[in-house]
Amino acid sequence: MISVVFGGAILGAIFSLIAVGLNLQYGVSRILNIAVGDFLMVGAYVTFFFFSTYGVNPLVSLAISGPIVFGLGILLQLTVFRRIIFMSKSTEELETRSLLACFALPFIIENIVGVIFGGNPIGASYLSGSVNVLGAMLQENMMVAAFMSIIISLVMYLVLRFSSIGLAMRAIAEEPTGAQLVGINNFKVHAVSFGIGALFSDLAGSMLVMIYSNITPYIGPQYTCIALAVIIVGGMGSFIGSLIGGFLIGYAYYISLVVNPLITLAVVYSFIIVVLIVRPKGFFGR
Amino acid sequence: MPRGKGVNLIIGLSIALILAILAVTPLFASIYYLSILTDVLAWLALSISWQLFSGSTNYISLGSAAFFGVGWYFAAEYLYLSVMTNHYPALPLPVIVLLGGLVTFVLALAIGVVTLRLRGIYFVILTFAISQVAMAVISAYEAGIAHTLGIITPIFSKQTVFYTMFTCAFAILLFVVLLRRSKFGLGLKMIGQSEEAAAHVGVNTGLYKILGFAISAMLMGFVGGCYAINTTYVNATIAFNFNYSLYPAVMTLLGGVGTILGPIIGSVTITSLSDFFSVTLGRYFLLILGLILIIIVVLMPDGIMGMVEKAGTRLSAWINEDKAKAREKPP
Repeated sequence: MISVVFGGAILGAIFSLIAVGLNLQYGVSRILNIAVGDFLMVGAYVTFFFFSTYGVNPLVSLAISGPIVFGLGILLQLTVFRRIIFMSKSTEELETRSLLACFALPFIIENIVGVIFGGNPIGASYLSGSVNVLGAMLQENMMVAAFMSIIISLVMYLVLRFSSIGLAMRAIAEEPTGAQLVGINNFKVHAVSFGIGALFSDLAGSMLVMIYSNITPYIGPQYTCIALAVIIVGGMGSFIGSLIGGFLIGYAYYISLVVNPLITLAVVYSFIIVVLIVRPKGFFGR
Repeated sequence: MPRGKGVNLIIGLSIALILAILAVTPLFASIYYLSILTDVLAWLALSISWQLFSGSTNYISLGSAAFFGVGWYFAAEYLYLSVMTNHYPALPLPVIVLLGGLVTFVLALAIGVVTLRLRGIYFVILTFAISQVAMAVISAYEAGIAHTLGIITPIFSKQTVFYTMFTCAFAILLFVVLLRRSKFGLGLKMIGQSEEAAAHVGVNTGLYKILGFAISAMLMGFVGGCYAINTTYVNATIAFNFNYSLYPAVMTLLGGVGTILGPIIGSVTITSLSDFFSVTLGRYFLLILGLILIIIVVLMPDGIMGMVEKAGTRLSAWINEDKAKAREKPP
């Protein structure tokens, strides 16, 4: 029982981190980055590369893989999505068009990584000892990952709430035209928010590669679907929603994993379907 | 663009010619090319069915795999139960395919009633999730409850498979062409251009959308049923593969949304390229496919047909300009 409480919370913290990034991208630029799981996979592979060739501590290599994937996100925003934003006449058109572009990204990212690293499962096992917390045996790396995820999410919340770029992001999310009128450079903000979204999934990937040893180039869609479920349950564009939704999906995922590993994905998808039918805006959506 | 009688005659003759060539292909083509042609026809039929609803109404559905898979599974299961184990009476193949399509139609009606209240990306995600859930549920059922590993179906000759798919594809093509010209087809198109305006001029948008969705799904179910005899084994991961949702959309977008030629051009291009190159290029092929999709979305939103049309108008403008100049100049 205790292990379910902690296991669900640990997964929930990591899921929240991915979902916060995804939600930031969607909330600010209306681009639903369906390739979020593949950015996560790239982060995992970058960490693995530095770990296996130079023996860099996975926690230290966050400082290396972070900027790489952040740059990748900004590059994508500048080359692909900027044009789509220019081209689209309405928000709805922009959303559908960019979603289609995002469906193409996994093909590209997965196969580039596959060509470089091959398809064998990898892992950068680190801090794999267990500690006894209130009678439940928990892996150290899982606890570190959960702790860091929560810290990063909180930092992001503070940034959104109190910094000027955070203010600009909230302004664009709420009123794109008005934000431009008061002098906010929306392309810059779009790029930064897209980069941050990519960065967050990268951080999650780097932490997952310490925990699991079955990372392949094709794990992306699985995490994409989880992140999608989180932001749909929590409400698209709602920060608090993705935090709470993350823990909800984390527990649902963990419990279904304990009951029967075959049904986990079906459970996650059912969350998407039920919430979209009953309350399409999500529980905290505007 | 108004078309003269000559143009119509040429189009009719070329269609008849293509039909005649395809009809006699099995007499001389090798098994390899025959199976590639069958694949091309299956994707073509799927893309046309996808275009019927999603192309005209702009409700992008990524749930095609669910309907294709249900058609496939129904036919495979029935063939297994009737031919392999004699549990059910043997039925002729067309009847099985039609029954499978009917099941898909009813299923899609139910799904349509719930999903079509949503629009934009909510609809995209919901249809995507439904097709994934269908796969996950059937997989879990087979592994956990029924303890089977997919379905084994009897072997059919490649010629039979080809003729079945050929008939299916052209029946669907004919049906869609006729439907597009009907009041119903025009209504769907109008919903795509402006749903509010369509409702104002008296199109029953709710009914049209649900019926259009279900008919399009039924056609996909037919294709799935015909595809069942192409393989001798099927499981949920194969039949409900996400590719069957994504590719019809990609093919139609590449060819050009909203035209009848678009899905045909798109599916023939992508399928023949993938059948010839996916073996030799492997991972690079999928990479290239992803790049193509990005290029379509970013640079040519109207697809190949859109580009052809643009070139056509430019050409005719240029010719008219020349004529005007010639008229201006005194001889």
